[in-house]
Amino acid sequence: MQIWALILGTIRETIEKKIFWINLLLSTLVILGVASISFNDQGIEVFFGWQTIEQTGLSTANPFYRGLISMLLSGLFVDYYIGWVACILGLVSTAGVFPSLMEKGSIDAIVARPLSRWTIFFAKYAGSLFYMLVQATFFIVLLFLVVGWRWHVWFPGLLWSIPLVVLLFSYLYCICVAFGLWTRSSIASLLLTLAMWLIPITGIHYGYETTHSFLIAKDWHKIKSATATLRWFVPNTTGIARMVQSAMDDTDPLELFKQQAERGLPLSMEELEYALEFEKKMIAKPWYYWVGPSLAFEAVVLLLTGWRFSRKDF
Amino acid sequence: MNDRDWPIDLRGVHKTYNRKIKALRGVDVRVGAGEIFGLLGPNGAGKSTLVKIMMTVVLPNRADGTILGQPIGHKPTLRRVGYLSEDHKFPPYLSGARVLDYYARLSKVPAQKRKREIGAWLERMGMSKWADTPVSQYSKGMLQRIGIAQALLHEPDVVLLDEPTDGVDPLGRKQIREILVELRQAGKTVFINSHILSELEMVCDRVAILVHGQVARQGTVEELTAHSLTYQVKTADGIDSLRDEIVRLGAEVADRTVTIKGNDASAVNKIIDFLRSKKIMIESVRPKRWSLEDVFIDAAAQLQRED
Repeated sequence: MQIWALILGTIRETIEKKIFWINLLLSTLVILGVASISFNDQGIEVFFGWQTIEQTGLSTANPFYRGLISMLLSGLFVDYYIGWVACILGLVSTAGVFPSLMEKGSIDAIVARPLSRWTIFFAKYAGSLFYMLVQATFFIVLLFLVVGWRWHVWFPGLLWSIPLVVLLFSYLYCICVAFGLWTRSSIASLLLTLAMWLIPITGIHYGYETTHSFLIAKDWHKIKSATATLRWFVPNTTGIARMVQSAMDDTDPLELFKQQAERGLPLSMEELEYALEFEKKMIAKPWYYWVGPSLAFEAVVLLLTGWRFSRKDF
Repeated sequence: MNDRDWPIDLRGVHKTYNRKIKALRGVDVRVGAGEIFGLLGPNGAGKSTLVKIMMTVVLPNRADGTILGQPIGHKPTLRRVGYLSEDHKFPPYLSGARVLDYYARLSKVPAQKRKREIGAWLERMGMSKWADTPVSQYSKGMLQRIGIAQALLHEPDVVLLDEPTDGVDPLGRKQIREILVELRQAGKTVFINSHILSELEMVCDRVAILVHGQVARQGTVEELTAHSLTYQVKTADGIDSLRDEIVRLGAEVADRTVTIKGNDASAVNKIIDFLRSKKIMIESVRPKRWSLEDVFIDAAAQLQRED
């Protein structure tokens, strides 16, 4: 009863903010945009069939149509929209949860109850994650239905991206909570989290992916090994998109990659072979390769922050 | 009273903030069942810190003793303790009724009882009309009424109130005093922090004066003020020329008033005889007992001198 009251209280707190509804509105607009597009055997229909753009590569006649759509969904909508835009909006909405909890006069009435500080800490944390669960569920379920209806491909695996996106958000939110507890300011914790996400985490992961995928840094062995080492100590946000894609579709991504490379990427055979080899390696990685270090990072941050919360004078 | 009869039994409570600021320096306080206990002290004396330690909001450096027979910091015991913090802040988007429901859930009040008690307490505090209005629209007094209701809704055995009448109008204060008296009659233990001394004087069975993190005085209001009886002799004529002689007789002179400390009637008579011998017209002679405020100021000054 107590834990549920705390979680519900946190959900109510986040829903009360306008940004929650702005986020839902934005998601609805994106879904409307997706619904306005459809594919046929000639190409792409836009504005609900108002015009057809001939494009054989992105037509239902393409044997790899399903695979391409899965890449588009996981890369564009899950990775970029949910993984970036919605996560940032989620952070904006929930960054204030802990600083407002710790305001003088507010914390007293909660801590002075027959429940441990650890329970309060994790219940508030879970309540904030629920915000992202609502947003992600709303967007992804609608996306799943609209893509099935308008794009003629059904990806039940797309629904796996709901918990995966919440997981991604939790990597970032634990940092936000740590800063929130330290600074007691929602703006400071939000800015510090974004700075920490955008600069080192993203830099390291994209640096790592880029150096492997595009070979432009084939000679940058030192940078490559440095980023490979560092990525074990920070949340792996880019791995989520890969997991979503592999959950969505059983099309052989190597074949897909090969086909795409043959179509247009300016790669030599040597580079292509190297890239394929890399993709093979990535696909062979177990799930815990993508989430293990990040979960460990989150656990360490949460334990340290929770311990600080449990020992703090309010 | 034996040990089990002290729902609040604090011994040697120490708290230092950031290894520098000594907020409490070995506080010993005992409060019995069915007793209203008032804690007085200037700002920064450590009153709120002491209450917060009892409620686990602040962690002590050292604290022996018990609350309801359990060591300080024992979380399950807090189910039987009600607390109103100073400057409390409730979630602004919740209505008064929802605030009560939220905190009652946190205190593990069963659903049926919650439903019944919330309506009853809103009625009692005169807040039924505003039950569904968000607390962001409440005045300070209304917030205080809701605060008191949330502290008492789960029927605690011990109630700790930090400045309970802050911002409340005289009618509301009277109502709060009545509730406190009812709690006492029901055998509950009430611990009040307040800087409004007259309020405490009216309802408290015992008080303690906290200065610089130490209990300077402790006892019933009568005990604290008994030794402070003085007599004041007011004269119609000026007595400045007699000042030295009056002081030699053990009294003090201020303007046309002679103050004799203590309750020794012979000392008063000696002064009257002296004044009459000098043909001084006496207007009035009246005993005066110190108020709690006088005791408080005296204790604070004494402790400051000792420091």
